[in-house]
Amino acid sequence: MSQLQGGTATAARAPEGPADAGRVVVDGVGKTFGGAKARRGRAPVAHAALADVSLTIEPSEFVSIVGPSGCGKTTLLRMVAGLTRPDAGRVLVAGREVTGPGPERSMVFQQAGLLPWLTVMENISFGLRLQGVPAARRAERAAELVHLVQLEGFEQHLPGELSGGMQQRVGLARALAVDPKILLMDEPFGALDEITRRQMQGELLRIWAADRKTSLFVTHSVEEAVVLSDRIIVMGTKPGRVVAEIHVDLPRPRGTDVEETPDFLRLRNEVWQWLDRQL
Amino acid sequence: MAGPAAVSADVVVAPAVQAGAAPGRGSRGRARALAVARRDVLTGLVALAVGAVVWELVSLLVPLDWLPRFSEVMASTGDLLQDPAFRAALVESTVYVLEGYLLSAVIGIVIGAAMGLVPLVDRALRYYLDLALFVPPIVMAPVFLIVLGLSRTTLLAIIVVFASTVIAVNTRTAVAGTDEQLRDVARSFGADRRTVLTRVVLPGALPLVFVGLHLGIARAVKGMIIGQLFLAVIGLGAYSARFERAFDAVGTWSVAVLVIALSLVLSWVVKVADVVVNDWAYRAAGARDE
Repeated sequence: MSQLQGGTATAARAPEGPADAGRVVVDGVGKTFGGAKARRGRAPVAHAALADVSLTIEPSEFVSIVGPSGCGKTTLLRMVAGLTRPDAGRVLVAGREVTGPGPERSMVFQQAGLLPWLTVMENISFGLRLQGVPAARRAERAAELVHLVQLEGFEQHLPGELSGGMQQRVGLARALAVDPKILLMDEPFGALDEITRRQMQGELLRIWAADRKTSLFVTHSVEEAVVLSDRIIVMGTKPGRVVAEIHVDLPRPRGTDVEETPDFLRLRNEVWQWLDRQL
Repeated sequence: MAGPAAVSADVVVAPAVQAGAAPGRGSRGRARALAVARRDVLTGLVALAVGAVVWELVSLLVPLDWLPRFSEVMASTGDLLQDPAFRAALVESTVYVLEGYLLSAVIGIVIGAAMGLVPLVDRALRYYLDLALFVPPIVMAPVFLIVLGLSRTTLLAIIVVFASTVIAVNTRTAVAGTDEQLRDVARSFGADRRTVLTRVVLPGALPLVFVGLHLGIARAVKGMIIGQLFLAVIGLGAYSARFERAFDAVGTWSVAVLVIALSLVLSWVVKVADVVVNDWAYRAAGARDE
């Protein structure tokens, strides 16, 4: 079920062909922050956020990353998104090295990241607008997404007029609007209360099941990772690295009752055991 | 928020929001702009009326040479407004304020945005901006007079230096304080630097820029009066200086009342523009209050 491979969860290999459009390969990436300049009389202080991290995410796979604060989860996700460049190694998407953001990837942010001056419809179609999609098509697509995330009646509302859960639905809809092959999510439910969080997990499972986009999900919640994922990557700190990979063999579709099953409890305990070793 | 009702577990919204399909954004913005303008104007007028009554009573109960009755000042103001020369001076001063203010807005926003976006520009200009912010215009007026001579350029320079600084400071703060996550959102969809600037940084900065514009209009009026008093040959400042030299308290107060009225009208105009442009910020604030 799980394995500890000294920073290598799955061997990185360069994929080819359109069938691999949703495949992500992280190949020995490293990232160090700070330390570029020494301050007066002091040695530069560098922080190795990631060191020699490798993993592969298969098309249509839902992979979660869990780990203690500072283990580089978000940095790794941002590398896949093309928002952060690795100092060492490389990230491949569909066999091509990631050098920046691309239309095949889309990200859901921690605090929803909605533009407060745009309405729900305008926020959902924001990515489409930046990609030069004509207004009529944008409106059509945004309406589809409003329906998908069940926000009918709120199309003209501003983010400030929505609850936290509704804002995250808009953030998810915005990411889905550009129809990415790969969905990257950075603790999207981290700021939500427990009730809303569970409801959003259900919503995400429902939406994901529709076309099974390759998904990389960063979370602090072990339970959330088990409920959502096909595979869980456990990361450790100092430096940030992969310490375990746990396959989640719970049957789909999964409801909230899955948390009552012995298999769920076994998987949850297994993740916790790996995390406890990092503390 | 009084009594929010749950639509579903995560759909908890203010009652006003919950009412269902929202009207168009434009109509909401206009309606709120009118409501805010109405509220501000009415509040201002009521406050002024109370002040006028207090002034009248105090001047009746405590006779002071320097404090004429309010009704007397208003009568004098009416007489002044009948005078074509005075009306021309009033128009001239207003034009100075508007010209100086528009120049200040452009200069302040451009400098503030450059400082907020480029750290090198920020470091280079920060101390000059602080100096311009703290040094009173009356100190700079003689310098401008020596450099530019007795001209309208001198007066405009005084207004611009006085008003543009506060606009630049607010713009700089707004631009530099742009939420990094919002930049990332745009970048994640492939936006280049220019697109991030036009689609994220500038729209998000507008509410704070308008705070600067609001403070700027007040400082433009002050700069105009100080400049005209210093030059003492043109506009309202010339009239004020003339009344002052003649120890004419009623005349001096009449000019002051007109300057206050001019300031209020210009301030209300900026406020309405703010509410129209930044209606989203007012709507969000309204939702929070509810």
